[in-house]
Amino acid sequence: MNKRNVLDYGRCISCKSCIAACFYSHNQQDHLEASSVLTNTVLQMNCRHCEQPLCEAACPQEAIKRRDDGLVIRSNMKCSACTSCAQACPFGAIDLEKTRHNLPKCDLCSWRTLEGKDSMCAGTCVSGARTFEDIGDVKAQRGNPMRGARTVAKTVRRKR
Amino acid sequence: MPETKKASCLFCSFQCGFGLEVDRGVPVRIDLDPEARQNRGALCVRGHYNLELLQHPKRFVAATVNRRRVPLGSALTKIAGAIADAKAGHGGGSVGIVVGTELSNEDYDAVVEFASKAVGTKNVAVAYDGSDLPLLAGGGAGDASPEDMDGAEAVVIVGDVFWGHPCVAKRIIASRHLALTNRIYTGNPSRTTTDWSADRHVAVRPGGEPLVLAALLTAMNAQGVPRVDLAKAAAACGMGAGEVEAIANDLKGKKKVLVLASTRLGDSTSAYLTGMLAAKLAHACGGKYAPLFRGGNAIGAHARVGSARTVPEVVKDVEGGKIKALLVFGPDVLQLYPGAFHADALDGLSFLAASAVFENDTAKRADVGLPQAAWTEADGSYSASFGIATTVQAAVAPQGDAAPVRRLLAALAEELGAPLAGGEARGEHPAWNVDAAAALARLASAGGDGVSFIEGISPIHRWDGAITGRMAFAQSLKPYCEIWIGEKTAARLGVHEGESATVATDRGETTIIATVTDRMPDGLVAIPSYVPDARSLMVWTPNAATRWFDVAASGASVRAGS
Repeated sequence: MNKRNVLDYGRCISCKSCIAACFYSHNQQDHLEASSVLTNTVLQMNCRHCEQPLCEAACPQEAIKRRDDGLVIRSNMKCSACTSCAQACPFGAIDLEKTRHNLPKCDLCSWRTLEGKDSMCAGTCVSGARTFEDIGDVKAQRGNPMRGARTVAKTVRRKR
Repeated sequence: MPETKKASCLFCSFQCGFGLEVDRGVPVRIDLDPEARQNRGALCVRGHYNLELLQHPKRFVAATVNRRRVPLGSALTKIAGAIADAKAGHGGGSVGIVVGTELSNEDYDAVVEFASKAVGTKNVAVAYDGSDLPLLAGGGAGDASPEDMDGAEAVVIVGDVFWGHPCVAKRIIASRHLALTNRIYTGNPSRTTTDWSADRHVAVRPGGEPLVLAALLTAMNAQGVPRVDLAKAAAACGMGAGEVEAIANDLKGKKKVLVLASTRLGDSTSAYLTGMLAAKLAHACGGKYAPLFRGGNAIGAHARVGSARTVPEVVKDVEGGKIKALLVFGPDVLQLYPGAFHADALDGLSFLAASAVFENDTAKRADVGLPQAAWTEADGSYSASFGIATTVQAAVAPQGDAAPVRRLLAALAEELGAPLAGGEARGEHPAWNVDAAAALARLASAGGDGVSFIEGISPIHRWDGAITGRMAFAQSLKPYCEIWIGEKTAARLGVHEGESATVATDRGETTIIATVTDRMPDGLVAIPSYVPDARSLMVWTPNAATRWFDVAASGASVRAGS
């Protein structure tokens, strides 16, 4: 699958509906990280489902695997919440959920997207900022849309 | 196999459509509905609460008498007895009924019929949140359709519409991106997210929104509207007279203009004038007008129950002892109107019954509490903004003994020997006595210094927080509430970002975490009205002309620390 979540920061109104959609459709786990930059904007740091995922390489339990369809999926059963993947991820897209002691990670809403629907965060977006598009088309039209939060803002502060 | 049922969200008057995935009668997941006419699949944070609302462990699922669980039939018999006693002793007028704005049109029909046939009272009032009633009375329900948002060449937005009603944002922002000449104009005291997306943000004084609209109408030479001194009005809104004329000319030159209005807690005269002038501005430009309300079915309540009696009048009758028994269907009046509905006054009633989705403060004080079905648990029709009539079927069965209000009322009417026949109600609307010219002149000359409070709106909370405050997402994302304070004001008062600050008014004080931002102008602090402690800092004063509350914070001050 070549489709990925793309965010247009110019249209985002920081309403957090994408985070809520992710939270409620994943058994109340935060798969979508959010950060604020000096309170002026909120950056949603979503998993890019990298071609060579560093989180997969860092995981000592082999809980994270890149599937043939391109999705990087984490197994709840194998994960020991060691946070290696969180430290390895260059985009800050994985964070420890302290209350449940595991590391929720974006699964690109595979139960929906493999049926041809939009991911929950893109479908629910109220401002049209977040879309679920073929990454090749987006690159051709708008340049590289997958820049990480660290390349957009100098200081990223987690806001939970 | 799970099936997806269509449902509507009643957290605001936009009434977004969504799907509810139900597995053997149990709601399991929210699905998006791209076919929904108004929101096309988008759903804000509050919309996602609809699933948790149905599954919440603290739902009110059994009737109570003095907070002890009883069978629903016993509770209804007790209410019927109390109504009969009040009627026998003091007449039908001694019974008051207050209904919320999330009931269905059929529920409102039943309330009106129950009040007239079974009880014989005209004391029926709708508990609108904020200034929904003045906004409705001023400009009506509007004439725009959702399709008017697509490709609008100019959009005038009054109020923080994108945070109060986030699902409106997508089509408005998309229309702006269609052509370089398309414009969004906004009016708000602080630089909200709506203003962030605008081409021109007019920073008005709190309550000064009608002044901008009147100035634009004056610059357009519109007939039948109060004229204002253009230079004075523009100066009061931080603009030059030339800029007002430039915006007016721009609006006149556009073929497709849309005016949206919503209000904050504040002066009811301003809300009335905002509705009236926003509708007139739309018509002067040959465009359309759409107001957005806090109450999900505020438009339906206004049309069917009417405004012959309003909450401030019912409060007065309760305090004066004219109303002996009060029935409340839906709202938590103690939290919705803190200080206006005195807990002591409720204790002074000879009988209080309250139905609610959660056992709220009013239901806790009630002699009889009734579990009320949520909007996705009952069939019904609703009237949304943008002229949409929504008809929904129950997606799941109500929890426990919970039932729709019309079913509770039908059972009560049977007990009272006057069964309901059904039928459509049409509310009475007495004329409003607001002197627009005098009010606008007062706004143009108003000033102030020191610290004043405005209502801070959050996209993750409903305004009174009565339901959204219980939701897991709200609690996990933002376990604390915050005040927004301008950089200059914060520096002057010694308040720092992320640290606690004590906000105080004549009504008391509370300690809240401060967010220091350049979005707030000097001297203005936004307090979160969805937090009961903060909401109760505002004073709700009845206004005889508008027959609604003026909400203000007198003696406002902020200091660092707790």
